[in-house]
Amino acid sequence: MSCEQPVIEVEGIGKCYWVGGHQFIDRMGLHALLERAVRAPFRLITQKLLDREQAKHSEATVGHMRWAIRDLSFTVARGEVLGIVGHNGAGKSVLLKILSRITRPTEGHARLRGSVSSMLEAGTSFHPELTGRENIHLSGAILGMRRSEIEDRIDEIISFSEIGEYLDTPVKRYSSGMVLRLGFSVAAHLATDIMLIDEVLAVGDQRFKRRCIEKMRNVARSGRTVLFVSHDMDVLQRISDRAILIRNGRIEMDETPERVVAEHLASAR
Amino acid sequence: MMNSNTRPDRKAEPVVIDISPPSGWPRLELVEVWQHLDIIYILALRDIKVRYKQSLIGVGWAVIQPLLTMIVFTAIFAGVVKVPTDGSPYPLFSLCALVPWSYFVHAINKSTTCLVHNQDIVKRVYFPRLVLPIAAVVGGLVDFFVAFGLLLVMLLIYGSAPTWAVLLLPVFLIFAVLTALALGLWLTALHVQYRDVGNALPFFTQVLMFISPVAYPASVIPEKWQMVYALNPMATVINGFRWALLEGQPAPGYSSLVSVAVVFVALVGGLYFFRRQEDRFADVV
Repeated sequence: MSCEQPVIEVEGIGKCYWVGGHQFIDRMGLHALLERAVRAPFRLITQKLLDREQAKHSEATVGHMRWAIRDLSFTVARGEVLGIVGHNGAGKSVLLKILSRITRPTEGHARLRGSVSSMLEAGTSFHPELTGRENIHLSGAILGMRRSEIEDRIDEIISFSEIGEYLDTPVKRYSSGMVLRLGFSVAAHLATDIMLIDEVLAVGDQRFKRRCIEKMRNVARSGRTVLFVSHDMDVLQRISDRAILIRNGRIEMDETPERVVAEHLASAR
Repeated sequence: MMNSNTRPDRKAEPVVIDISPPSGWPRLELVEVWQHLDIIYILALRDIKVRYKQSLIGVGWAVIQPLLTMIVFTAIFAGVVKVPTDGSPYPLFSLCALVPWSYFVHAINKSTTCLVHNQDIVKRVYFPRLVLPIAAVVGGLVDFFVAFGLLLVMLLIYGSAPTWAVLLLPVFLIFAVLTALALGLWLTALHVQYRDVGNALPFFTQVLMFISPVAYPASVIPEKWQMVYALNPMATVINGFRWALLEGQPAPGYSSLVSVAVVFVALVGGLYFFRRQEDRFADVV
């Protein structure tokens, strides 16, 4: 066991977005864009020239770039539950998107030791046209799991999600609560080492919330690592071992959940 | 560099995922695509199910389209214009082209929109994005085989026996798949950023049909232009289908090598282009 090595290491991660208009046409103009396209095959030879040119570009346009997050560094140990707190737009979701490899950072790097399942954007990676059962298989396949491995867990997933008779109905006909329950259940039961959860508990009812909290605790006890974003301070204090506070894309605090929550609530007033 | 999580269960081979900014030329990571073959299968199956679920004629659509086109073509090009066919009955002659052609058009349409169509999963979960266009192109083969059934029936009706060349038919089919994939990769990656691609596509495929030997034989093209004509790989696919299935059709000549080279370059270039654009998909889709 590699208990000494952190499961998640984040070092100086930053993500820059282009704000307003069409990212490439506006920035460079159609003419420059075509020129770039023609040059692309020669990139290897002219790399140096291009680097200089790009530096010029970014200098000229830096006013329109916005760093969603910048300079984030932290580590998470095996079996730890890390809560992420911050106001809307602070950059919490961007961070989870980078860690789940949906988008790539502009700078910095991160290393994850283990497989990842995620549940982002208060929704799921489900395909609306597939049935619940087919979606469970799809999620497993995306994680690179074998059919038999998925079959082994499918009963647990179904019973936790309580979708019962709707299992063979396309997900597009599910209520939002059902989608949520199945999504959480899939993320929690697939055999991944790291679970990334973004704002799941906001939509569920009280009973489901309680079960989720319990499940996350179990997941952590079994040695898996959980990163989760929530605006529910009560839940956050109950299940996380540690919390970080993100403000304007930077880590403001990395402390016990109690102190982070207190700071966050103080700043909200 | 990204190492995929192959088997989450086996603690013996720990998965390490490195995340870093995109830089330089991307690695193709085709092994990772291979490991996610299941997704290709599930998505291709899904496409087929969905397409025929709320439809009366269902899979019949795969037959109706080439059949009706064949009838119209026969009426006009055999009845009115008197197009030469190198000795084959015109309905067979055109159907041998229409079946691979319909597949090709269907496959590139499918793959062009595949990322935008699947944005729900593209925005929420990581997997090698290459599986999406591959699933689109491979999934289209189901329609192809249905339409191919029609072609076999027609061959029987005309009592036309194939020659030994029929053994090479799979080669031409694979070549058609690769052609569709090569073009599809470029179109998919462009479509994410520029929806103009979606608007231009129907026009593009229409023009492409006129410069492919669908309604007429490639032999009407003057000898000195054959090499240029073969820059369109579908010309070779169609010539190959005719040669493999009909007696007396000329074998594809050396100009086929031009087509092979075009597909090879477009495919490798497409793979790299797609991988380069891939990092941006979730941000711009």
